Amino acid sequence: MTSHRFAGFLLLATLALGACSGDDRQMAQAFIQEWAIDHADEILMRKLGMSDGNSYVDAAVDAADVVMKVQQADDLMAKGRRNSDPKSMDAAMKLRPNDWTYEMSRANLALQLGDMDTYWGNRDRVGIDFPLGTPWHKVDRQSYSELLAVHKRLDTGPGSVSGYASYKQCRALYDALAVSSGNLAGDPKSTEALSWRQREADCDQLPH
Amino acid sequence: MAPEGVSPDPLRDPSAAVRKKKRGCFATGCLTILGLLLVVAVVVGGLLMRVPQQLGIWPSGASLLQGTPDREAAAAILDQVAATGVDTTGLSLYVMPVEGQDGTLAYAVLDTSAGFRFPTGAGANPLTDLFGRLASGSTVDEAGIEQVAIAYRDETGLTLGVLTASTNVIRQFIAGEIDEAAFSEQLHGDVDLGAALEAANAP
Repeated sequence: MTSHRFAGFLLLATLALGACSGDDRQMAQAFIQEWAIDHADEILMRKLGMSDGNSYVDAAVDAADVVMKVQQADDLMAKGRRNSDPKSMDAAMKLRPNDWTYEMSRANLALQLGDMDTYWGNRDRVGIDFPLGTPWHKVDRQSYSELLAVHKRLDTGPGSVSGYASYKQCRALYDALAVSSGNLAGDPKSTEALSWRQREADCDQLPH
Repeated sequence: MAPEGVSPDPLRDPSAAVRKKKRGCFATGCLTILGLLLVVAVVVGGLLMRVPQQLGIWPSGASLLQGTPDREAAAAILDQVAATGVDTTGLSLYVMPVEGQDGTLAYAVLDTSAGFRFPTGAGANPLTDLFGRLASGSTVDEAGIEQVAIAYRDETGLTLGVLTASTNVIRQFIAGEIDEAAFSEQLHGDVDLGAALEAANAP
């Protein structure tokens, strides 16, 4: 009997919550409708693409297409990162050029694949597109986690360099790991940074 | 004079040639009006097709939002909103730098077709309540958010519109310094009026 009462209570509670949620939805839609009626002149102005000079508002009102492209590009980039697929990454970058997070991932994938021109090209782009005033640790955090994944894919153990296609690839990887870990630790001579420098020195075994 | 039903010969009757060249006042006025209407139609069509934006004469979302979205900040703010009891299913958030400005725009998409539901007991107005949640907290300050926008999609995925307000105005509203009517006046946006009316009247 108690369990029946409890089930009944749950059902009522669920119905009440559902109704409440539906009411909230209608209330929100009614608010939008009322706002639209009161601001029909502004809406007409916006439909004609006219601006009142506030670029924050202009950006917000006209962001739908941008957001759609960001979504599509993010999906492609996620696929590229997951599958080490440069084509997906390039397609994402075509949709959203100048995104430094994409450029960083593309650079690190190129490093993994031994394509050093693409690596350096995209590394340079990160420096250009990273906005002034943004903390650099954001770059270092992404860079370090991606480079660690590259290291795990190519590494064949300390002292061994057989996994690397070239001296340049090996040096670039361990130099970047040493710099990123040093920046993140706030000390370029941190234990971790020095251990990467040691691995960098191992690259000398490769012909160069 | 030419016989009835035969056109006058301008060589024999010079006044016929003069008569033929003259256009009536009605014809001239009509052509002028038609010409003006054509110009207006071309201008309005060009504006609706966003030609000035495509030519870069006027700013557009694409030109103002070229920078890299701050995905970390967006995730942190969504976590913060979720911690206040909002189910973030169907709620996407983008934090984007705005060209020529120091601050950022937080652009939320409430997609009812993807399962978004307003939190129950959100207060008198669930939309203004959500504006408040998206404009509050340390993560919002850290991300430099100056403007919050909410795009609302109905059950069919159709965007009813986007409303936007500055973070300062939203905070004044939360603090009770301005009432809902004043807040509504400070809102800007673009709404698909037909869709909004239809959605609001739907059962």
